[in-house]
Amino acid sequence: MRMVPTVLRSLLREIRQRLGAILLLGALGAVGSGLLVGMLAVYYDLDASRARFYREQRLADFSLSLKRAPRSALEQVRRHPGVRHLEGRVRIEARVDLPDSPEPITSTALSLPRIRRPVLNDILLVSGTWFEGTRDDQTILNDAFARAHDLRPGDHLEALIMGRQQRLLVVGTALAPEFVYVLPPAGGMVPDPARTGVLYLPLDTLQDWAGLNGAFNEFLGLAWDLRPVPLRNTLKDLERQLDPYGVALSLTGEEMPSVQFLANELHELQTSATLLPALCLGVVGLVLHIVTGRMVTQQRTTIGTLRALGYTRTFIVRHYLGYGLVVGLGSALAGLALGLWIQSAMVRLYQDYFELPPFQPALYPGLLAGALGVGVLFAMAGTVQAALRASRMNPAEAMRPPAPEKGGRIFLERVRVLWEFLPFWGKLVLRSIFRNPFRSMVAILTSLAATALLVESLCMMAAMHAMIDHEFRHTSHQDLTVALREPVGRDILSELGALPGITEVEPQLVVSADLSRGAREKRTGLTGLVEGNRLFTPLDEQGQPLRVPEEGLVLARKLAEILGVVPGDTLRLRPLIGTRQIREAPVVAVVDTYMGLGAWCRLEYLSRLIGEDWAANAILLDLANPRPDRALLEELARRPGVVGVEQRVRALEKIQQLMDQNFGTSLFILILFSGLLAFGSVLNTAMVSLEERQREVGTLRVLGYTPERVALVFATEIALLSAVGIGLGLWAGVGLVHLVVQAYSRELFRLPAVIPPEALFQSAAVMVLFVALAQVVVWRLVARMPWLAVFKVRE
Amino acid sequence: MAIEGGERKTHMEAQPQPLLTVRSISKIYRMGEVEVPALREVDLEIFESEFLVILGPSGSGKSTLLNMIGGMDRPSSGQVLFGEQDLTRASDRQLTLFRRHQIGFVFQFFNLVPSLTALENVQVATDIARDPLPAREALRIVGLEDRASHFPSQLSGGQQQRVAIARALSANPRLLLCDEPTGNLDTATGAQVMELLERLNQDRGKTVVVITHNALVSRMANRTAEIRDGRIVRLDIQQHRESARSLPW
Repeated sequence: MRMVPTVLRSLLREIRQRLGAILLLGALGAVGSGLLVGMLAVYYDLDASRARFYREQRLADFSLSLKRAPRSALEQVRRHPGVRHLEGRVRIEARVDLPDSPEPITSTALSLPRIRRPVLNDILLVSGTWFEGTRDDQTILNDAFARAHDLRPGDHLEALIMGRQQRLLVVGTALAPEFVYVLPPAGGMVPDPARTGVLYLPLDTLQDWAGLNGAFNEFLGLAWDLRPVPLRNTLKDLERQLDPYGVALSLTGEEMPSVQFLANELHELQTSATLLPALCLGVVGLVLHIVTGRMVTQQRTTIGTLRALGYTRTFIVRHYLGYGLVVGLGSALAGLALGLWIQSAMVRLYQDYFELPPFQPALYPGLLAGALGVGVLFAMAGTVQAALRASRMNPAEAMRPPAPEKGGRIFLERVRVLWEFLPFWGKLVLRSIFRNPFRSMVAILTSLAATALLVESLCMMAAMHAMIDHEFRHTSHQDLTVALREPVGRDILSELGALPGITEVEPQLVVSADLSRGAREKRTGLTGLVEGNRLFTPLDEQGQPLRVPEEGLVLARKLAEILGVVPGDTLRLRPLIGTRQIREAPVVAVVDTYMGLGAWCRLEYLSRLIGEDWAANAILLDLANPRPDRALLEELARRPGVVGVEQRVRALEKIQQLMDQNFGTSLFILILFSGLLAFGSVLNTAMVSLEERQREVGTLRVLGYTPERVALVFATEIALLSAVGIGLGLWAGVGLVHLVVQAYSRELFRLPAVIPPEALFQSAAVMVLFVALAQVVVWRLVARMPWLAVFKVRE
Repeated sequence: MAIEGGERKTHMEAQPQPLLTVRSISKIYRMGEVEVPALREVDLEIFESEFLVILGPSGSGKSTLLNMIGGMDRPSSGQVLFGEQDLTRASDRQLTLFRRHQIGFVFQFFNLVPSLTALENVQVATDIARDPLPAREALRIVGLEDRASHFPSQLSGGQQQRVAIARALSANPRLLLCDEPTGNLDTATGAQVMELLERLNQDRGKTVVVITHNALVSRMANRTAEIRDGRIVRLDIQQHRESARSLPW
């Protein structure tokens, strides 16, 4: 029984001897397991918190926007066999005046029952109370908005609701499942809590103010069948039944912006949680494979002796697998600790980012055990081959000194001219690379993966910036966008144009419409442009402004594909405002744009389609001073019929701020990650190579080579392998960008595949930096190597 | 001792200055808490163009002595002088240059680079030497010009050792240091290698120091220093050297 401890001691001693290499591998493994544990745990936390919130506050499965539907209509559609439950509520615009905001804030007023009872899209009170008594002037605010303006229960605020100025008492603040990700109501891609007001008021109050006594303008419902197609069909039925009440928009739960955004975030988290750890642990396995393979070669005499002494094959296998076990277990345990830390840090981050009820990072024993298992498995898989090879050694043969290392030519030597000119160390390097193809391949693949990862993230960042530029600089040129509740006539142009400081006015008509051809149907927004449009110029992918003919539609490629139309075809078109009469409209052109579902036509043409002569529901303004003063904003916002006033520069700043924050952090982490990957793998390759060629190092040193010259041999090997890896990685990165862009190409918009040369350059530079760091370590190893010991008679 | 004195005189006439002087060096290795003396106050002079044999059983300290002479290690006390240069005070860099330009090493295990051909192995030395022999010329001298493109694994032990000698020779060193050059060879091959060293000494005037446990080798030498337990216990001078070929290997 003493056998085991003795050999275990020898295992530990071997590990101590290679401590540097082991620690490096361990760190890489720990990062892999840590990311796996941390990110998956956050995924579970977030997913559970979301599910609980949606369930407890009863997130609706669908919503229908209406003009005005009486209770009888509600009772009528409630009987639809697909509907499990249906409720009505009132949603109207409100403009909130706050002393800390330069202009009125476009907000949403939503109804809630005066006496608390469970409803769909319910709220979770964070502070204060529910409505009290019969007063009309009380409101519950969404919590993020209240925090952004430091509003608390007991405070008052001024709001313009349906043309009437109201002084409201804040009685409470709340979270809501439909506003987990708070996007401004006037549109935008970035949360802006300070400009996203949601005011809850008692149902009867809102019905009264909106002139909807006994009626609703929004239905929320639960459905029996939540699969996308049946749900869509149910909604179509409901739309048909509710047509007399002016259905404007129906959304399934998944189409609601906040729900969609949160789902995307979770999906991406899940992808990263598998991809990055797999990469790390894979490299650990491959490098261990190389290291243990080398160990077995080196220790063949010992293995032979042990076998001669009567140790079994199983014992030998166990011994070398033990190496993987120790590395795997050690790194996985460290990874668990790291993972728990990542989890709590990310949970904190997400708490700020999403308006979810507070949640704590939970402990997932199954996940921890799984990650431990995966970490150990990867490491042991790396040692299996060496262990088996060791066990197959014949004791008598293994005890004899090894046959001299094989020389032999590599194919490059056939290129005589080249070969003759190489200094001897160049030959050493090339032969070493080609005689250890597996090791060389691992070094190349690792730097390839790390480089590709860097290229991909830098390019995606560039793509986002390109999109923003496309949208905010090249397409939109206006300073302000005034959104109107209803389409209005030409008078608005002279009316707004007369305001001080306005230099140019451009009308726009944006209409939601159902487009169909045969059985294919798609709901999208049609944008009507005036001739000679200057403030809003949609572009195709080449950056050319779209030319819109007097008659007919211009469709984005994706939309045309969905509908199966080509230029010359005719579409059926049913606008969701105005007369709602079905019209025929010819498709004049199909263009490639980043806006996948875009459809454009002349404003006059679109006006006729909705039964008007000339109509506009958005007015773009160019100002003498791009930063509008408060007086102008107030003047605009107070006009009846104005739904919102959006400042282009402000929206741009907000989105850039968010991009810099988000991408900045993740880019930093990714650079570190890629760096560690490259550094770890390259260094390990060099260390194995160094150990294998100790005798060469000693010989060279005796012959009068300086440590620098000797290190140059190894440095050249690393440099060559990394250079190939980085070069291929740049290619692979570009390929990856195209793949990711394709994967992300959703209906709403597509990302351009942007490959800025500086992204390639920066990726390569980061890689070169980390490889150079590894070189420094190699140089120190060579300089400190006890080369004299090599000449002592062999064991 | 009288003989030694007389002999010293003749040397003094021919070569008044020794090429290398070892003055009272000791070397103590520390193995954990135990101190192991490998050399104790050793004195030795090596003269230009002589064939010196350092004879001793294994563990006697002869390899340690060779390490000191070759600038691979420093003594715990005492001095090693190469001409005017004190090797004991030289920096690592200076020792490196000393080995590069003044010493040619031949090892028991050849220490060829397995991934380089015979010719390339010699070039490893000529690449950094100041005034080297052409690598092919060195191979010709050891009789291996037709094996230039063979890898070590394709050569016999004797051939490998001859490549190693060619490598040592090619840098045109003042001193050839050979550590058990025949220790890993069969007797016939070993004899050939010794003949080669003899030729280099006699025809080319190379100073050759051979470390061995084989007393027979000392019959080829000008002088033999016998070393035991870290001390030189005897220094023999031989008037009539026997040729390697004539020895009963």
